Order: sequence, then C-alpha cells, then structure tokens
Amino acid sequence: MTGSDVLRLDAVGKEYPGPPVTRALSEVTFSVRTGEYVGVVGPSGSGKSTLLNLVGALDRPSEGRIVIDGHDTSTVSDRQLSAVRCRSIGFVFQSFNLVDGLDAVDNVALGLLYAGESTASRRRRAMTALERVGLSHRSDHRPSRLSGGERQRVAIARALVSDPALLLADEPTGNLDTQNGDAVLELFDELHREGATIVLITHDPQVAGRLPRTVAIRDGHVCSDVTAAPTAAEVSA
Amino acid sequence: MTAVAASRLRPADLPALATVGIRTRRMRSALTALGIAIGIGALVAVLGIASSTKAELDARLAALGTNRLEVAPGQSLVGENVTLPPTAAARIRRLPAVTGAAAASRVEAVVRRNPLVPRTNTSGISVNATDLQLLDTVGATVASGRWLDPATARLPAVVLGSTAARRLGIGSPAGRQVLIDDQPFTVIGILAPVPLYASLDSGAFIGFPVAAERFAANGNPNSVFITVQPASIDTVRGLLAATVNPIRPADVKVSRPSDAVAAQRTVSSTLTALLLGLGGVALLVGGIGVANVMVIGVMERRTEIGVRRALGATRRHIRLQFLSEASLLGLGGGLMGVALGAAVTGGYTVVRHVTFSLPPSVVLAGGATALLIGAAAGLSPAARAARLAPADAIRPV
Ligand SMILES: Nc1ncnc2c1ncn2[C@@H]1O[C@H](COP(=O)(O)OP(=O)(O)OP(=O)(O)O)[C@@H](O)[C@H]1O
Ligand SMILES: [Mg+2]
Repeated sequence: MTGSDVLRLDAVGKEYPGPPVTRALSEVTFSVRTGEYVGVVGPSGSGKSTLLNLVGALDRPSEGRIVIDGHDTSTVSDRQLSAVRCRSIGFVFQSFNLVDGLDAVDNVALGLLYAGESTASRRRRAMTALERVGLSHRSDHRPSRLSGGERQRVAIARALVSDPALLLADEPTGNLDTQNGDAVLELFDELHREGATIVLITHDPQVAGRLPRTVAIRDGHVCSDVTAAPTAAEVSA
Repeated sequence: MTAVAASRLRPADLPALATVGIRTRRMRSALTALGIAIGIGALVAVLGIASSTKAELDARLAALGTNRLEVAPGQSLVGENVTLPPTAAARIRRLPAVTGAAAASRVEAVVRRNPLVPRTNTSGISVNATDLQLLDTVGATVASGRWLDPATARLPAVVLGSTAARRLGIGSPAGRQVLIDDQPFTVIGILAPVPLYASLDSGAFIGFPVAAERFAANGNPNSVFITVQPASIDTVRGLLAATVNPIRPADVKVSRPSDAVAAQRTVSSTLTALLLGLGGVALLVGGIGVANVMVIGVMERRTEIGVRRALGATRRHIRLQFLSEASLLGLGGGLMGVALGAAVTGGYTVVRHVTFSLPPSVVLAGGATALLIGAAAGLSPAARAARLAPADAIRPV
C-alpha cells in the first residue's frame, strides 16, 4: 500500500477561546496516505471530534499546519475552506443529518450541489452512489420513511458522490444497533477495498480493532499510532 | 500549493433551494404569508376601488362632456333674496358660442298622487316651470313617454324625473294623472336619471305658459342650464354674470357641473385613509411575522446549515438560501394579497355597478412591495444563518 499523502498534520493544536479557554488538541502530527483506512480512537472529550473538524476543513487550527489533498487550510479564507470541503472531503455524521424535505436521491445529490454541476448530472451520479450503497430501490423515499441503517447508507452515498479524496466519519455507527452498525462498517470496508481513503472516529474498541491503522488520542495528544500487519486479502489486492 | 476550484451554486438551483424549507413547513409558511397577504390585499383593494371609481367618473365625464355651465341666483352679501330676471335665458342665448340655454323656475306647489294623500306630504318633489330646451341642455333622456312640446307646455301636462316618478309610484306615464295643488295634470313622460344634475331626478316639469296661468308663477329662474362650444367655455363663463344681471353681476352664481364630478375623482375619503393605514399596519405585522418565522427556521435548521457548509456551501450560499426563502414567503403573500384585493375590488364593482379597473402598476407594486418586505425581514435571520460556524452548526445538541 503506497500513495501520496492525502492528509498531513504538523504540530497541530486547537484551543477554544473561553471563557474558560479550553485546549482540545496539542502537537498532533501524523499523515494519511491515499487509500488508507484509519481509525481515531479515544475516550470521550479527548479531542476526536475537534480533530475531525480540523481534518475536514470545518475549522482552522490554532497552531500548526494542516494540508488536505494538497491544500494548506491553516491560513486560507472561509471561502477557500468551503471549496476544500466541497471538492476534497466527504462527511458522514453520527446522526445522519439528512435534509427532511428531500428524498434519498436528492439528499445524495446535495453532495454535488455546491460543486456547480447540472441537475441531470447530479441526479445521475447520485443514483450511481445509491447503487453503491445498495439503496437504488429507495431513491424516492424521504428520510422519514427510511430505517436508521438505510439513512446512514444514504448519508454515506452523499459523502462519496463527489469522489472525495478523503472520507471522514464521526461515530457513524453510534446511532445504530449492532446489526445495522455492522452493515455500515462492512460498507466502509468495501469502499476501502475499492480505494477510498477513510478516517473513522470511534470510541468502540471492537470497531477500532478491525481497522488496518489506529490513531489513539488522549487529552488532545496522539498517544499511539499503530498499523496492523496487512491481511492476506489486502496483500493479494 | 494548488488552488482549489471555488464552491459554486448554479442560479438554476436557487428556486428549489429557496423552497425546501417552505415545502417542509407548508402550514407555517402559509400562515406567515397570510399576514403579508392581508396587508397587500387591503392596499390593492383600496387602490382598485379608487381606480374603478375614477374610471367610472371619467366615463361619466366623457359621456356628459365638459361643455356645460349653470347659472343660479347668488347669495347677496346682506343675505337678502336675490333672483335671476325672467329674461336671463333669452339674454344668454344671444351670446356667441352658446349653443343652448334653458331656464327652470321653481313653482311653489305640492304634487300628490291622489286626493287621499295629505297636502303636507310633498314627497320631496319640486315642481319646475321649464323651457323646452331643458332636455338637451342638461343632457337628459326620456325613459318613457315624451318631453314637453309647445302644445303640451300650455296644457296641464307634466314630465316627471326618475326619482319623482318612483316616489309617486308611477312606472309608466300611460294615462296617469297626478294632482298639482289640487289641479289634475296628465303625466306625459318620465325622464331617465340625469347623471350630471342629480337634483333634477326629483323634479316635476311643466311648461312656463301653464305655470303662469294656473299658479301665477313669476318666471324668475332658479337655474339656467347652458351648453357652449367647448373651445369657448372660459370666455362664455366670464361673460355670463354680466349678461344676466349687468347692474349687479355679483348676484349671479356661475358654475360648471363637470367640475363637481371631476372633484370627486380626487376625494380621498376617511374610509380610504383608514384602509390604507390598516394595510400598512398589516404589512408591518406581516413583515415582523416573516422575520420571526425565519429566525425560528434558522434555529431549527442549524444542523441542515452545518451539513450544507460541510458539503461545500459558502456563507454567501447560506445567506442566499434564507434570503430567497424569506423573499419568496413575501412574494407568495403578495400574490395572495393581490388576488384578495382584486376579489374585493371585483365585489365592489358588482355591488356598485361600476366597471372593474385594476391598473397593472398596482399589481406589480403589490408583488414588489411584498417581495421587498420579505427580503428585508429575511436579512437579519439570513445573516445569522451565514454567520454560524460550520463546526458549531453540525455539533449534535
Ligand atoms: N466549540 C467548543 N468550544 C469550547 N470547547 C469545546 C468546543 N468543542 C469541543 N470543546 C471541548 O474540547 C474537548 C474535546 O472535545 P471533542 O468534542 O473533540 O471530544 P470527543 O473526543 O469528540 O468526545 P466524544 O467522544 O464525547 O464525542 C472537550 O473538552 C470539549 O468540551
Ligand atoms: Mg465527538
């Protein structure tokens, strides 16, 4: 598994202005290469979501440097941050966050709305993405008519519809039962096998255990960064 | 460092974007728009009714022409009774550019339908001795029967105004008689309503010869009705007083009846002012309602805003979405209001038998005003939505 860096963090810190001033991250340095599947683990309040916000260009670091898909986000304008999110990143949230008024395919197409693509092209690509998550038969359903597992798969389709360089997921199974959660994780595995670069936050050791690489955070510091030996399947891939 | 292609929202996507919140909250949106609708409706109705009334008055003016003048006894400074000389009409007819002049002279007599009606009951009908030219000079037409002629002017024959005929319960003149001061008079004709001189509608008209003979009428006119060549109207108007009474021209009152109709066009009644005020207040309240609903919407849709930012929306895109939504709420209310105002105007024109008139400019102004109010109401909530930090917006609450 080789590839260029999709993501590079260099001595990144984040302090939330108070009161009280809260230091959420300090001296975080690591990088993620194309095609990697990385788990970020840590106890509650350790700074995982803060890290994901920085890595997802939703926020800027207080210090240090972050390069996402070749774009340094530490210094750019809000508009440019939006552009990086638009072109390079796909988000999956714990609570799905689908838009109620839109059916499944339109929710997925939302992932391309701000890329300025035509409606026809957006819908076509959204249908393809829905197929990838196995939900093409639910394309005209409103989110309220979908099960939790289906909602999360629609959300995953929305995240990957724009072919982002980096797929970010914050506790994607947190609101799902074990069975649906497993199905979602299997979907991530499959996307990984197809070449997607994924960073997945979890505080579930069992979830983390199945990932090829795990970055552990504690009190805002990276305390371990372990890459498991590639499995037989990955070697042959 | 490579430059990243900026986020871009196609204008074609704006309509769907602006309506997503409205579509998911139909009831609330409709009720919000209703406030604006009532305001715009009131304003459009006021303007529509004013316009329809004005169109009606204009039509009346055009039909009547503005070439008519009237002469009446003026008010003397010391309050004594002034009269017009019996020769007034004849003198006026000799003026150049005068095409007709007819005198009408009040006869102190009571008209009754039959002897059983008490003599004190005048029914508000005035008896007038009149020149035969009266019909043409006041622009009146005969509804049924005929007008006086040189023969009937000498006979006990009477023509009734439309109101007078109704009060006497006479629908058609055929063979009907009335009593004028106990003397039987044959009704030979009934006039159609006279638009320019409504007071004639309650008159009963007899010839000068019979008036002099039966009632010893003195022949001093209460009015002389005049038609002139339109181009000379101001000249004639200036000459009339001195022509009628060369010694005391101030005792003669000259008026142009069409001026009164024209004046009605610009009269703004208390009701109009009240409705306009009401519409303004409703618009203000409607605008505040839109602002309020938008503020609530932005709070409720915090996560949606966060997701849109995460998917690449810029602050401008978020602001545009909410501003468009508020403008659309306003516009929707405006269109409802225009329909409402047009309906009220339509109802008014049906009841009042006038022609419907609603200038396109009123419709456009109504829609545009509502749109602007919506946009103004959405300004602050939209800015608030755009200011939300993406990381804060998507944080589960
Ligand atoms: N916007 C903010 N303002 C101030 N403090 C914040 C903000 N966001 C997070 N924090 C603080 O930063 C620290 C890290 O929070 P973060 O949400 O990153 O934790 P987490 O690892 O995701 O926890 P969990 O597993 O519970 O989601 C916490 O102490 C939190 O209170
Ligand atoms: Mg978290």
